[in-house]
Amino acid sequence: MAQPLLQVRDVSLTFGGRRPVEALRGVSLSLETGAFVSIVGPSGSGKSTLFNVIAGIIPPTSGEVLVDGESDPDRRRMRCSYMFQKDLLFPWRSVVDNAALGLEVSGACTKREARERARALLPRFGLAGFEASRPSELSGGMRQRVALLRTLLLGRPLLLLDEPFASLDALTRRDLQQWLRATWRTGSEAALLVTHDVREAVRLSDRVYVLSPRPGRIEAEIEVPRGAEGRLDTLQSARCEQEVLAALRIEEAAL
Amino acid sequence: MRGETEARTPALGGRGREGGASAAPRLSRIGSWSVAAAASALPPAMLLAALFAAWEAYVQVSGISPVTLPAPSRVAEVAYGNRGVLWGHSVVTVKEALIGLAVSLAVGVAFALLIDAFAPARRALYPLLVGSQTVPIVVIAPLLILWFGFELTPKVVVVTLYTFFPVTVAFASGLAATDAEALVLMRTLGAGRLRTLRLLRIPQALPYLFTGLRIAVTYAIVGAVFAEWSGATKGLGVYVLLMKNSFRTDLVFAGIFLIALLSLLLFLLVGLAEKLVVRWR
Repeated sequence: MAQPLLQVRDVSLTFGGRRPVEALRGVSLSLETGAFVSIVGPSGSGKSTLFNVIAGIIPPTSGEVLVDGESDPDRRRMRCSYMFQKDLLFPWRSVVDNAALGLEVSGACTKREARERARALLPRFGLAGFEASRPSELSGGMRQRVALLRTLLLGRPLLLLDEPFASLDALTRRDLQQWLRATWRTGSEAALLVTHDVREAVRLSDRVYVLSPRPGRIEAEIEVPRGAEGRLDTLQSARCEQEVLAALRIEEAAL
Repeated sequence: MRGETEARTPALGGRGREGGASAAPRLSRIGSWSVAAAASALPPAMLLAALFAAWEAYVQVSGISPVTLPAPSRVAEVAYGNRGVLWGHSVVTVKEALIGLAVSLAVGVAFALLIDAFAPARRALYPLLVGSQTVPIVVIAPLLILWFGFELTPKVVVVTLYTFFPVTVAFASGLAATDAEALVLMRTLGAGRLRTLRLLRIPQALPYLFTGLRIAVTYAIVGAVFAEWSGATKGLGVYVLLMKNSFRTDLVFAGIFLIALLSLLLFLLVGLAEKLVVRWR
């Protein structure tokens, strides 16, 4: 196997202040090109914090993060595209202008080119005919698709997904999960998803890491066996879910 | 750039639930807004009519002297008779108010950006700005006349003193209210401070700026009138003062109503401008 796209080595993070909070303790994980990996953990297990460390927004107290072989936070940031739980679409921009925001800001191309490239992908993202609409005119699922388009258009190798479907209803969420599984490789080479939805993690991933409650540690690492074209049979999927749940429950019992 | 996408209608108007949101509703927005505005203007108009009726009845029944309290019908009559004169004075006052507001907008936005950008500026400037609001303008206005003469400048200064503060405070708090996650988003996209300001923070602070402007306009005409009162050759302030001195209470009332009406119109104008600029609300 080639060098992993993402390597997190023994990362610990303690937030300072009068009452220091230990958020992460000795977290190590890796992500190879082409893989979709999830991190599952209860609320407050430092999942989002870990993302901010990986994306070079928060420096870790100790340990090392390499993205594409780069450890410098600024360079790392330019290799990660980050999608949030909130769609964070700008209400004063049209759909196409929101989708083009990332490209426009990164300065990789002109504003016009950015908009052209966003427009070309709208049909794939189920947004054909909505390019001039305002975000307020879209449903929650469509808004998240615009946000994902904004993220993927950057063409950065590592896709970070921070509970992107948490605010959607169950049906829309299921719909978008399947769609994401088919779409995420347009633009990115590997994806890391943070979620507290065990089923979502198993359904989407090749591998699931279980994070413990604060301070976050990697509690378990579960491979999801996939067949041809990434297919996953029901039995296997149920077994994986059981494993993840077991890892989570053991943690609960230990409390 | 925004205008370009605005003008384009979506290719598929009728697609899906949300597909109906095309150019048509956007064009009619101002129309439906004016209908809503007319509907909301009805109750206050009725209350005002009732007050005028009571006033009229009191004057007719009591036989009070028109120098003490003229009937509204008489005020309307003399206002109409003096419309040319009133118009001439109004133009002067409105001009002073608008120039003062424009200066306030520029000064307020500049102060807000300064306060936002540099913590030392916030610490140094904010107390002074608050202090400037406690200075009694009654005392300053004659001095301004002394320094700048009877022409436009002292009026603009007074209007600006009255109105820059709400603009500054509102815009500064708008800039401070930027969504923290949106800021992280801009960082992950690789945006620097200026880009973040231009693409995210200023647009999202615009509704706040308009709130400040709404407050500011209600002071603008009154500020101009007050400045004229302290010394001027033309304008509603001098006019009201002159009419008071010649015991034309009816024309004083005509001036007062005109001042209120002009303030109201300016207020509505800001509302309309907000509808045009902040279209996403």
